[in-house]
Amino acid sequence: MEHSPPGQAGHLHLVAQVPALDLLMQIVAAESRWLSAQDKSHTVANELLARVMRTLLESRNWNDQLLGAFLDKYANTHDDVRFYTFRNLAYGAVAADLVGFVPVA
Amino acid sequence: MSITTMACTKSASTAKPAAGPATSSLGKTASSKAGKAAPAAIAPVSSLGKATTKLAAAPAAAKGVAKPAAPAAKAASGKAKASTNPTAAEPQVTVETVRKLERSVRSGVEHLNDMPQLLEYLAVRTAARTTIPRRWRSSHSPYMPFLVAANPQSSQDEIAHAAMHSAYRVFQPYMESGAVFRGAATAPAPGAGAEKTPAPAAATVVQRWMREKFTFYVDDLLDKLSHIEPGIQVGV
Repeated sequence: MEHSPPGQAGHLHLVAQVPALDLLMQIVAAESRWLSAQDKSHTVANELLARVMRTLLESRNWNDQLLGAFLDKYANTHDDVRFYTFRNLAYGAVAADLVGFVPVA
Repeated sequence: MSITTMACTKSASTAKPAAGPATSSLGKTASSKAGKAAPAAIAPVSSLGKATTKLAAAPAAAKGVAKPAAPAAKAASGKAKASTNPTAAEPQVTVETVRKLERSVRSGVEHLNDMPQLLEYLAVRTAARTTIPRRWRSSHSPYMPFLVAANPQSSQDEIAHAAMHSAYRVFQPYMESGAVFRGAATAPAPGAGAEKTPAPAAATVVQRWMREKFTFYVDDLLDKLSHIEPGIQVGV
């Protein structure tokens, strides 16, 4: 998708959700790098990632573009993001209070 | 492939660490040697006298960040105090204003007090399109391009969009050093034995203040994830 500079006629302007997701995942990556350097082992900033996932799942304005961006750019690309995505879903770190959700023991 | 190898965005990678160079040992120093953390924590604040006094007032100003109408109201108060309409002063703020503010903040620690104002621009657009019926706001709605084209607040979208990325570039040196992350410092809890302990070091105050701003920034990004818009709109 082209992201032309603002001001040009007919440009596609990414506004709110997808850029916010990109920036949040950049922050997750930066915190993961910092945590890995501190612990001297591979660490993922799962706390922020879980908050992102929780916000995505609880959003009333969820849409295909946002889901596609998360899957294509992150979950299907980065193994650790995929692992923690499923882990958070399975252990209820994300959706424990969603109606009808039964966390896996 | 792990997320730690994820490349920064182009705009982010070009950000020069103006505000926080040589702070890679920030977290380590703060956690291991709490007493000596102050000088090493945020080195540029070695000119601490001036920066600290300014920052002392900054958190109070930042409390107004959560109010969407605050930037417009502040700008309007400078021009015409009689006008209380938040949309009255909005055309004066442009994307270039945001960029200029970002350059100012990144130019040195003495301009850190401009950061609350930069963060205020994140909330400029939060009141937009709340009167549009929900069924029209669907990502598959055929009305959406027309609504956007007819929306007089589309310039605010650009301001908020620019502010998001500008704030990220401002925070990037602090993220690389870990200064804004939770386990980075051992700052005492506010109010916990505040009378007995001496005043915290200036760098600790700056770091705590910076972490407050970063928390606000992350919370705002999370709010934008559930914004009413589908994420893509056609500009005019």
